[in-house]
Amino acid sequence: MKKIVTLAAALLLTASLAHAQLGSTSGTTTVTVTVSAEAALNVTTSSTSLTSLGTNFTNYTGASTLSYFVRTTLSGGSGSITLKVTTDFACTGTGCTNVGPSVTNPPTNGDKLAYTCSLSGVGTACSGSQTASTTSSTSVATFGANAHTVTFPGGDTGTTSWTLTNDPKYQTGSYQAVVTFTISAS
Amino acid sequence: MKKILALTALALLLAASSALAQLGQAPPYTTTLSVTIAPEIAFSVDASTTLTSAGRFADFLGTTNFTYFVRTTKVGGGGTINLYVSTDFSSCTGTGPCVGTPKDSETLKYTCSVVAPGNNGTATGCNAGTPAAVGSANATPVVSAFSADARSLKAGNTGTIAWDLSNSPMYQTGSPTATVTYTISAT
Repeated sequence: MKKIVTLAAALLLTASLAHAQLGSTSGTTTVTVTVSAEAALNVTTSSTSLTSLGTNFTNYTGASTLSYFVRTTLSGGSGSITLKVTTDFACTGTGCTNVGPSVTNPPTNGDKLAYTCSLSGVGTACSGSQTASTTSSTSVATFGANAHTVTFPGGDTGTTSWTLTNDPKYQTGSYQAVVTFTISAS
Repeated sequence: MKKILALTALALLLAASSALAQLGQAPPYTTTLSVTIAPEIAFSVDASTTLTSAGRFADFLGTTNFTYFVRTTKVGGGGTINLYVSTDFSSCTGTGPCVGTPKDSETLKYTCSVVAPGNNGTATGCNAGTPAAVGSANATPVVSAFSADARSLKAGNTGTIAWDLSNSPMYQTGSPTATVTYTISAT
């Protein structure tokens, strides 16, 4: 029994001596994080209706809203929001013959899908009326260096206000197109 | 101690990643634009037309020009343009032409000419020498019928109304006027 106790004591002493040889009583860690340029987007209006007064062939109008989050590089950074018509207008339902609005091939020269932009938050909205395209992206907003979303966590907001020519040449019916937004930050 | 630090760091990383996942949707960021193209019609017409006589009591003649813009429903659609005298000649109270109560059996007649819708369809004009009448309930056709899927040019298509007013020696001299109102419809 005495040998067991002695052995235990020896083990404990050894352990304590071993612990005393590992590390120190205090330590520090330097935690580093790299905050990079970043951007995110929510299209609030996933479905946008374009409507007309129905008299005098006034143009069809409607609005799409989105919220965005952006952080651009402190020095030399930039960013943008753009849009592109990724699916041109096509008629829906039965008996369609697609004689209606078209971004790629408007039925009458001068027919177009145009939009204006407005922002509530960081960034510069596109200036004046823009003509949407199926072949290239067009501007919604631009961001300069050290741009940061003002509203958090909801995000800053932007609106694209659409105008579609009301051409008598369009056949009656329902038509849809898909617009895709892109956001970037550097 | 190391375990505490490691767990704390791991917790912070998890919290941060969870917070980032809540901002923004996953791409693509799209909106679907929807538009319903409905039948519609619009019309413009000369604001004034002067009727003149060649003399020797030839009828008073004049032409009113109009432009129409129309889209009728692809299947089963139609439309019309009508006119009526909304304000009769001021000479009705005197001795001059009057459509509602003729003084000398005079009539105000008209003949229409209309260009077909430039993008599709047909427009049927009025019968030659249609007598104009007073009041909306007595409206008479300018374009008696647009066909289904009638679609004008974006710039519009044109027509004319050729007026013919009897020239009675009974009329007192003067410059009486009447107002003609047009009604348009498209389905």
